[in-house]
Amino acid sequence: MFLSKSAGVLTVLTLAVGIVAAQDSMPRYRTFISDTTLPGIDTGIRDNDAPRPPRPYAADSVSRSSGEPYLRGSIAVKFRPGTAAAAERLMTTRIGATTMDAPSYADFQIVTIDEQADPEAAAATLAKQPDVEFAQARYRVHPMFVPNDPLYAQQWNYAAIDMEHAWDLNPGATPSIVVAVLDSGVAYRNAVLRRSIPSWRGPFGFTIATFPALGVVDIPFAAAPDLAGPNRFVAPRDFIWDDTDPLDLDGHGTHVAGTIGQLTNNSVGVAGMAFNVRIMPVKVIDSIWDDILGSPFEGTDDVVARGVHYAVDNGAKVLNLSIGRAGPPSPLLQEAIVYATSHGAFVAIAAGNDFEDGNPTEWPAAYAPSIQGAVAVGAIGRDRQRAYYSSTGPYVELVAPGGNQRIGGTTAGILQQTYDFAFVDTYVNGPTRYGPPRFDIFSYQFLQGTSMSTPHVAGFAALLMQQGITSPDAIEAAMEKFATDLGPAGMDPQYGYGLINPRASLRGLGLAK
Amino acid sequence: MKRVLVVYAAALLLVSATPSSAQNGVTMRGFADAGLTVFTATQSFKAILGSSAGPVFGGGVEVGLTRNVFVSVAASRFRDTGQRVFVFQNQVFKLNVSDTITVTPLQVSAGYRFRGRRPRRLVPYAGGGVGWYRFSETSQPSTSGDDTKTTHGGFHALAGFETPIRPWAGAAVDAQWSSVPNSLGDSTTSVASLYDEHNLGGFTLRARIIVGR
Repeated sequence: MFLSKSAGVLTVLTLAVGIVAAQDSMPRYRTFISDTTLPGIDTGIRDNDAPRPPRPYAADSVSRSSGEPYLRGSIAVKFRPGTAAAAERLMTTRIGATTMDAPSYADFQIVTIDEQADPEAAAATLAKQPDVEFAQARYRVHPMFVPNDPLYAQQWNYAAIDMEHAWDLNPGATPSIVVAVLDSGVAYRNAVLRRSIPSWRGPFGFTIATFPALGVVDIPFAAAPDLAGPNRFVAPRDFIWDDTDPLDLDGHGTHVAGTIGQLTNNSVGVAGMAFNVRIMPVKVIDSIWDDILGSPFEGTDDVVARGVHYAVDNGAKVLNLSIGRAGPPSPLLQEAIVYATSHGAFVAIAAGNDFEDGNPTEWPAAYAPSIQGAVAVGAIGRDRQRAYYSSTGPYVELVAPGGNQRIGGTTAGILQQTYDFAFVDTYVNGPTRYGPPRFDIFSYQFLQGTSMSTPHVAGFAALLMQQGITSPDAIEAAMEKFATDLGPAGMDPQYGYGLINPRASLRGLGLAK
Repeated sequence: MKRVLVVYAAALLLVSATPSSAQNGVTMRGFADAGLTVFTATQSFKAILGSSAGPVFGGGVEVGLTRNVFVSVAASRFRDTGQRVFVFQNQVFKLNVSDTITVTPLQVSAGYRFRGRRPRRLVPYAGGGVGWYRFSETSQPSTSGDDTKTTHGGFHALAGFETPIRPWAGAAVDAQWSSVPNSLGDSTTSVASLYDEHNLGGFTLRARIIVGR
């Protein structure tokens, strides 16, 4: 695991070094040359593949430019209401700021500072000013799943939480409930992207190789066959490319969206928790391909915060954040989550996968206990024990199936449809067999992580909301009251209040029983 | 249950203490009644059914042991359907899961009619007794173990007026207070537990048609 993780970090670090140089000449925005392509290809369950190494993430603790957990050259700041513009300029001048930008869906500002300046120090200096509510570096956020060894299996996760009986009470909610998936995007539509793929340097085994430029290529995208349906997706938004095409260039977000709302009873593939809801794809995480293709933004705290504001402002009632990071706290994310819950949206947040990596406090999960209507979700395996990776701490409030492939093997992961990674991670076989990716070929993959447990809770929240519990704080209370206590009696740092029990929560209280 | 038996014994004592000069032979009458019960577990019934009160219908047999002393056996039924709920910070969220409550008391009472020496139109009476209260709660959809059917012991007191409307029939109005202690709220999935309401009894106002001499 440690070797694998190190390899992943090395991959990303080297990718970052190689990619940065290539991006300067790349266009900031994308050109989709077609919205109509052939339907996605389903290659079925990848049950005969050899175990694959963990998939590295661009946002996994390193940045494209520095290998540091934050972006250089800018920080995020929120001034107190009523602060004069002249005063704001004066304060930012003290840290050498040059420009200040107020992005959309944000009640904070991005202040440009010197590339060589320490963003954390600059933020600390600015935070001491009396008219500054908070200032922080732009920390990078990453997806919360432990990569898997894809084989085949069944969705043991639903049986583990008695979903069959829960669906008797509420068969998958209705399209009136919108669940926002703040992630790496979702395979929600067909398209062809014409884009130049530059040369870049990255690891091949234990060596660093130069991956050749592929020139201008047409990259096909397709909607996930088992997820897409008429009027299924609402208000898509991409904060990594700053457009309205949050296409998934990774597969993480598509897998997560599947657990929330995969089409069910359609004689195809697998099931989802709340299979009638509408999905709002909100892309706030960049993948390796986003980096290679030169996305203008990365998945930092401020980008996630904007995504949260956007989702709430556009009608999402449940937000799934299978993302997070270690490091310093983030007032940006805290405020964004408070904004969501105070506007009637429930927020499910991955508790983190770093138990064996020092078990650091994870953000924004650690804010959840102090925000009613936001829940930090840990993971259990098929044996109903905490999964080896699942972070622990006083902020873990609930657990849900996230898989534990160390004990149960590949099929002990969570099965959902996403891309066939063989056509996405074309760089893993080295420069000679490297080629452009395809995002129109799908397979059923077992993944594990709190990224996978969190959408169970998001889907569960959608069911509760449809059932009649309309306020996020009451939803959290209903989940916690009826949770099946695991581990030491009562709330504990491993399992929180316990394993979610959707049927019991949906059934609620009777007069006498 | 011991308290119930004590009350029942007291009722029998009342009957046996009736002066023999007042006895005019045993009579038997039947009756049917309809009324309204306000349950003691006010918040619990209101949360599930939307109201803490509901109609009850019943009937029974009364035996006059003397001119003034009677005993009766009566059965009645309350039934209403509401929804299961979740309660958070005093806000009740209806969960769209139907929940049918049925309460079926079987009550044995003993009482005394205050007829006086002269015939009069309104004859007051009072009494008390014991009862067995069958409680049923069923929801849809449900699985085995979800529904509950239990029987609890309780006691009651009543008072009212009776008036003849035909030589062979009469009408009465009475009020009854009943207590069925420790019959609710022992489950963590009950609103009764949440509201700390444990008594299935209540106050019933009813009208009765009596047939017989």
